[in-house]
Amino acid sequence: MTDIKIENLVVDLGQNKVLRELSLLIPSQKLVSVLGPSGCGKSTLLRTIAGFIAPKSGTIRFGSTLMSVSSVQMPPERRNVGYVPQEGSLFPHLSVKKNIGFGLTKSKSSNKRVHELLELMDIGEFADRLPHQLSGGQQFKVAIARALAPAPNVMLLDEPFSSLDAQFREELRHEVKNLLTETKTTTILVTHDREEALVMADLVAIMRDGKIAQIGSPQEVYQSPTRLETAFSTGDALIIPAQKSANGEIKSIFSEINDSSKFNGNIVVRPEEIEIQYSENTANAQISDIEFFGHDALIHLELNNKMKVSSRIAAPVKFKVGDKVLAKQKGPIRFFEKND
Amino acid sequence: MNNALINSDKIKLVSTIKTPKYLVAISLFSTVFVLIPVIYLLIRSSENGISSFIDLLRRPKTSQTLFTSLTLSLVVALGSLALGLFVASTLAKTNVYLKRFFLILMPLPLAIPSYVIAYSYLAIFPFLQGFWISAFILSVATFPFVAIPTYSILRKININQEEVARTLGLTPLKVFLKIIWPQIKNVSFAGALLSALYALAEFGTVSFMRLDTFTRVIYTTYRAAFDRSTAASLAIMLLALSLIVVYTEKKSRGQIVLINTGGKTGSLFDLKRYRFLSSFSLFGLNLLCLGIPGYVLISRTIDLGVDIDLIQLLSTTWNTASVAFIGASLSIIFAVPIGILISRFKSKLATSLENIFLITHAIPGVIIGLALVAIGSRFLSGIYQTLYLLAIAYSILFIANSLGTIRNNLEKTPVKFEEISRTLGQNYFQSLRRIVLPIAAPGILSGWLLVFVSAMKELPATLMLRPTGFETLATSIWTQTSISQFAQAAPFALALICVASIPSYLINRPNVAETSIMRDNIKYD
Repeated sequence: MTDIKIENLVVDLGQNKVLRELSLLIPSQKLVSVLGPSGCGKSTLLRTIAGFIAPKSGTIRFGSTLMSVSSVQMPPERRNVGYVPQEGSLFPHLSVKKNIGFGLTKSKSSNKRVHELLELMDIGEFADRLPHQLSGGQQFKVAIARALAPAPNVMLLDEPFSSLDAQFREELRHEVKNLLTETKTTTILVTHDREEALVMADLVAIMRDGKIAQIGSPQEVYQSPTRLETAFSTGDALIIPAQKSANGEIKSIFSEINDSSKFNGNIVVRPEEIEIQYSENTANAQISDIEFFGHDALIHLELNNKMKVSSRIAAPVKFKVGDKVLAKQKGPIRFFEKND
Repeated sequence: MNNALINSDKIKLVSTIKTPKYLVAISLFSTVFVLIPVIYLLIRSSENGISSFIDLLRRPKTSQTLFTSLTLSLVVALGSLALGLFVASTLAKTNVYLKRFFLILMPLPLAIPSYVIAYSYLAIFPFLQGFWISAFILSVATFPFVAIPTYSILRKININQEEVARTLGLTPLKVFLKIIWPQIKNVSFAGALLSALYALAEFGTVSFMRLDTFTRVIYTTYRAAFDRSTAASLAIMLLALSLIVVYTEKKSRGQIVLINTGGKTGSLFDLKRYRFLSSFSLFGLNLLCLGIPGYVLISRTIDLGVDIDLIQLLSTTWNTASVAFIGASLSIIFAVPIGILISRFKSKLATSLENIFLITHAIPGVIIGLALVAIGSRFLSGIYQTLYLLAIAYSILFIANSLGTIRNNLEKTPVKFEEISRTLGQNYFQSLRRIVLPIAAPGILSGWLLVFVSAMKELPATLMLRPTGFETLATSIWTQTSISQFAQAAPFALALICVASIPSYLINRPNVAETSIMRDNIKYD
């Protein structure tokens, strides 16, 4: 039962302020994915939690145990974390078995534990091979097993799937997710892949400029972004000028408002929330391009007022480029006032 | 194993954890230890005050020595630059005959001590002496300093650059001057500076050729009068010169910029009617630096035949190897902690230690010898006149070489490995022992071998520090040659080539093999 409590964490690397008073609460036994573009500091966050970087200020607690406060740091080897970096980084001079057993003190029970994990990860046949004799997917499984072997309080995964082939990736995501749920390990996964963040996590934390911008269930962060910018982190988003009148009514170009001087904000719309249908007479848009992905398609539209939006529809696609259509917005209206 | 290492090269190299205190302590100790000879010489030469130092500078003999040393290193640098550029560019860029053969021979002169080359010339032409023959021998002995790195850059320059330049109307000569030369010149200059440094530090060749450079004058001053203050002051001057060369070399290496490498590199310049002449010139050069010594060593040894004292030869070889073994092991003990500090923790301390160790690269053997004789006879009577003091000299003299190799190998081991090991409950020391050192072990071993073979070839410090009656192969060659017993020196020289030069050639060879031309597609211009 280990939750992770991070409060006002500040990390400077050289001249750069990487983490700026970052606070984050990770509930026990949950998997939290930290999603952000490269350079936002998410890897630094992970390495600070592991104890490789000493923060300038702020605290990190595992359960009730302090790991890091001002100048006092718990060394990495006493934090009991499991760490899986990009590409696994197996020890190249040790066999699979020895890699997995690396963190265990030698005894009969450690042997048993290694075999348990070999079986659990379904890699028993490779036990005596060296890392370079394994495929990327197999290496990854060994890296997970090595990190899990000492039964860590906390698992830290740093873009672990990024070097794997697409087909492997989906399979392994599922497997790893189940494994971590079964072993009830509190886990932080950092990634820049929004699909990965949403699929794997119990909670998604969106990171921007060294801070957590929003945290919530995958549904929540996708459906209800609290800021305009965070909407883009979780998926495609359209920003459409809109007007909120005094009585709280929100009108956008979809509600036939075309006078740009009246816009006092924007609404954020997901492409799948724009519905289109054939309509010669009431058409408000024309199809300019179609991107077909197989299971769905992205229809690019030019509205009558020259604005460009797109609509995601499920296959099969009955439209063609040049069709005149009526585009309507469905679903929630998320209004953000203009800041300036 | 290599694949696994290369895969992880994106990983950040520098550790952000605090530097362990014991590592800092050991490194500082090693640094002080390595610097003791220099510090001692500084104290010694300042004992008589600055005025006597100036007096010494004013002596005609001193300025003569300074002039000889400077011109010798300048001529050797130019000679090795010219030879090195010729060899590198014909092998890398033209259709010269027997390319593979010449390529294999290219690094070999560096493995042979230049005093062995000098000795073999004396064995045939006993009247040789003076400046030009010294400059000649040192140039042919050190041109690979220029040839090897220049060749490897020439092979890396993308041929598209040359092709584009040709389509823009440049002749092959202009292509070389405007496109290729700017890219190789820093590497070639750095190599030439290494030759200059070698010429400054070389003792055996100039002594055999009776040329009074600093090293010989320091040695004779010390021998003749046991005048150690004067010798120390001269040593300080030599050290200052060497330091200037070392830092210029480092700077010139730092400016090396390679633009647009990779891609096709195979296009060769057709020498046409000069093809034979160029091949013959390469052959001639190899004859001068390898053929003549080879011929002398083998023919004189055969001439001696049954007169060779095998017992003495074997015991001398054993002496040589055993003291070099201790020296190499000591130097590894000093180099590994510092290598870890420099490659793992980019702190200010690590950077300044790195620069300090660069100094040791500039210390000629004769200076270490002089300093340790004085320190040993005064303060370390326990190990003075034993082979341990000699081994210490070797360890200091060659530590920069082993440190370079060890450091390169440590840098190939990603810091991430240690980090994972630490999350698995191992402290830093355990991580070093279980992860970093095993992975770097082959590199550490080759660092050890490098010192081992260099120490076997070392002459001046060995002459000054060996226990009475203790002969190594190098001192035996020295003794016999000094009394013009050239034939008697041959078996020792041959043995030295077998136990030291061939292994050191084999250590260096893979670098050249990597750039071997055989696998590239060859096409004619």
